[in-house]
Amino acid sequence: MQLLDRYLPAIKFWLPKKQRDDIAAELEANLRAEIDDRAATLGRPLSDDEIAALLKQHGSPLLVASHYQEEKHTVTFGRQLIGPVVFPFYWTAIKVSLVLLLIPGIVPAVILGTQAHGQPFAELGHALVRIARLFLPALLLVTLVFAAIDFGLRRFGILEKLGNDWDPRKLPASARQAKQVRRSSSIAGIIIQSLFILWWWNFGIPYLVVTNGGAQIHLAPVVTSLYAPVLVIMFINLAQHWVNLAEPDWRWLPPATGMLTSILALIFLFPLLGRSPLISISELGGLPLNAREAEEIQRILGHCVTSLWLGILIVGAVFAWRLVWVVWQTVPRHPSGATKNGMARV
Amino acid sequence: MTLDLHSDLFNNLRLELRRGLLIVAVLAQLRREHYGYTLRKDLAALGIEIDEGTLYPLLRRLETQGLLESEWREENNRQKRFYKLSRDGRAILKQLLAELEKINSSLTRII
Repeated sequence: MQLLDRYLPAIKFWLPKKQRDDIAAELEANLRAEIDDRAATLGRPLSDDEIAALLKQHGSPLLVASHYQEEKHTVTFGRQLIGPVVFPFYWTAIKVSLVLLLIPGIVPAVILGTQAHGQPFAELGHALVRIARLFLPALLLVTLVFAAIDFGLRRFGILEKLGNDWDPRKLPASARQAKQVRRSSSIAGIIIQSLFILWWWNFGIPYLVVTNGGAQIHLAPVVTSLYAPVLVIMFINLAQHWVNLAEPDWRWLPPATGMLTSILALIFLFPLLGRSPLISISELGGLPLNAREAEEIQRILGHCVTSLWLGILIVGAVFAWRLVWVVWQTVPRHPSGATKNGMARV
Repeated sequence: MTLDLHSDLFNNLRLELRRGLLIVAVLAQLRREHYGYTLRKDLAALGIEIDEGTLYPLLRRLETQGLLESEWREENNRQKRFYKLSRDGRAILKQLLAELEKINSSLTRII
């Protein structure tokens, strides 16, 4: 029953998390009952080929799992735009977009409001209005992209075509599946990196914030020169997620990429350590920031850069350790024994 | 109308026609307790073929809607999930069957 032991984890991988174990247990019970029943009819256990044919008829893991997506989780506007199969990925993209807009929008506003004017709530309010203005087009764009994906899947019957082409015998062993880079992780990584690249491409490193007084605080050229290097790092990460989506067995790739990008980030950030000034201020007719307030913001940013550098150093070290661990696990230390594959055990 | 288009259209209409009727068939068959595989087999023996990808998720949805009850139990040394009609399910089935009969007799007169 090795094929069944490979098939069920492959289905579980795509199932809704909350019901994953329960659905898989029920599917297993039904499949084993069907195999028992056919074996009883034939008067002998089924061969691997016969079990493979049964599983193929049952459907590809992705197709089977797609039937269990909750039907209420859809986006409907007159007609269904995003169905239950695509909805979980769409919902992740929406949450990621919101986080990508919230963090860079709110954090500088709170720092500045607290340190420069003592008006964190006013700055926060302005920041939220700016975020809302950006989020609505982002929501529309993400919805359109996923509606197009859903339309393509349905119009061209892609899930069904994938279902026809799959072979149960080519599924990896369950132990190997457990160690693979999860597809959900690769897909989430692709979505996050793509959105971040889009955001970075459009907005780059703009002003930090406009204060109530009208002063516009920019990052100094030494910081804005990081625009292209950050883009390079994001593209390297994006490429890693795409490669792992196609090659989930390459477990060494995420830590290797993490280590590489950490080293690059450390090199790029190094010139900023202890460097002054990191900001420049242009006053637009309002009350100017006084020298002490500007110095305070400069000091905070200096601490942020140092903390970021040390943080990346630690993250890089963790990735290096993970890479060593993965490679050590992968190196074969015992000769693998011969396996025989006769009639399947039920 | 090309043959392919004709066949696609027929399949879509057939699916729509079957969708509601399958639910009635499943509810009716579950007046007696079954687990997924035997239910599918019994329905097939009665001339109603449902593929696993449709039936097993349908059972879970009907249970979520309160029309079915289920319990895990051991049978022949294997744990299986047995479904049966709930009290609400029985009431709904009665109404559905009455509706079906009404539609059927109207259709018979129309056809």
